[in-house]
Amino acid sequence: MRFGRILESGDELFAASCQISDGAVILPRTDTDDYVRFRIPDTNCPPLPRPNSPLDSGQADVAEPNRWQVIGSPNTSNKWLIAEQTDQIQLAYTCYAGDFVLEVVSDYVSKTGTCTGEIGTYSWDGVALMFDMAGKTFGIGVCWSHHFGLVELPWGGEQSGRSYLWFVAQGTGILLHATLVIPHSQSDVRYRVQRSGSNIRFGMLNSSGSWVYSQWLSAGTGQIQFRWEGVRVLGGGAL
Amino acid sequence: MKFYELNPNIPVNDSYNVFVRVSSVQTVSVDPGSISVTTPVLDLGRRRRIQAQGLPEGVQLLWRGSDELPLPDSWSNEPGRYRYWQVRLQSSDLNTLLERLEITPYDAPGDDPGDGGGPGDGGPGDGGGPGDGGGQPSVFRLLLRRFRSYWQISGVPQDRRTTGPFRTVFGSGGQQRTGENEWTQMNNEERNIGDGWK
Repeated sequence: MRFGRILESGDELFAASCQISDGAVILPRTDTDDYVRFRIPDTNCPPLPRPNSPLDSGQADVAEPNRWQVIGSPNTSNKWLIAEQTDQIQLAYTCYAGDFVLEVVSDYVSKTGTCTGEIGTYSWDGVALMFDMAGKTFGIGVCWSHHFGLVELPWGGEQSGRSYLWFVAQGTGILLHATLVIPHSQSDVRYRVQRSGSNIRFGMLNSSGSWVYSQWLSAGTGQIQFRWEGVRVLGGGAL
Repeated sequence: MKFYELNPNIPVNDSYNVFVRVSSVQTVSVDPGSISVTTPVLDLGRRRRIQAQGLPEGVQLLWRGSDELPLPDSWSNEPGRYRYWQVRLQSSDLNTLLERLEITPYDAPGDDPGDGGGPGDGGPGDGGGPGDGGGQPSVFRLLLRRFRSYWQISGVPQDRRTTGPFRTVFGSGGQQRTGENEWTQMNNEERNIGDGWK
């Protein structure tokens, strides 16, 4: 008898009769093939297989045609290049039954379009790792930021450059947010999400190689469904 | 795209479409730190050994067996012959996909297919017959033991059902397969009924 793959009479899928532990999830590969994996979002961002294209190499992501749900047309030929305005990549299942620390390597690549503002205004445009909990949207990502007309310019005298941005939003309003400038010279750009009990905080790697953390944010417990989605925050002189 | 405006009264004219590359996502720590998938309790119909294999290679296999339910609490990985089995596939490697679990029941040379005393099989249980527990029995003795097991359940009444992972049932007549692992005696003509070789 066989579990996880139906090749002959008597075989069963894991989902049909088996029990999984906390922290595991059963994912279908085809109608006759499923598997069990950690409830985590880990990936090295390979080219994503299309749903219903069965692959059974056993290699994470490569052999998981139903793990990611894609909106828009992100270019996944060389890692995942996600467009702010049109693309979204979401995990097909919820993650983490308990405490965790998650680390993402991600960076700004390019932009199209323009941005203008009055003196003292700001803009942040980028792609963030987001999730919804307790009626709020939490997110952290890397943005292209523009600071208009400031005297002290954070990017070596330039008005725009890369920034980390984390935020907590509710509906269309943003409740909390903070940014950290990423100098042009910083090549190692990565951020973290950490949960302890019912609290979450965000971490950002600075140019000295140290982690800069947000305060702990009340988020509640429960599994999290992660997605990468574009985010735009405009600061019309209120900062 | 999520759009938030901190002060709509002071507009910023923004038409940027920013492209961001995500290169890797790694769990630094997670609780719990291992996962497993556990089969239901498997009833082999009689006492048998099993061979279990997990895919991919290298994942941890745990099992427990007993002739009675409930099964013991501990996953002792004791080899042996049991009627009831349960197998667990486990991994603490975050990137491992638990792909498959294959369980093959078998009888080793010297095992008595007639023992085990499962409900409904009419057998007398493990009676410690000749050859039990010692060395390799001769082919002749193995054949005798097989036939003994068949004749032990002779005199089968009508509607008597025999269940198990059988491929073949031997008899002088009147047996009919009525399910995936089920044979039913259709008349009172008795004679032997038994296990074939899987």
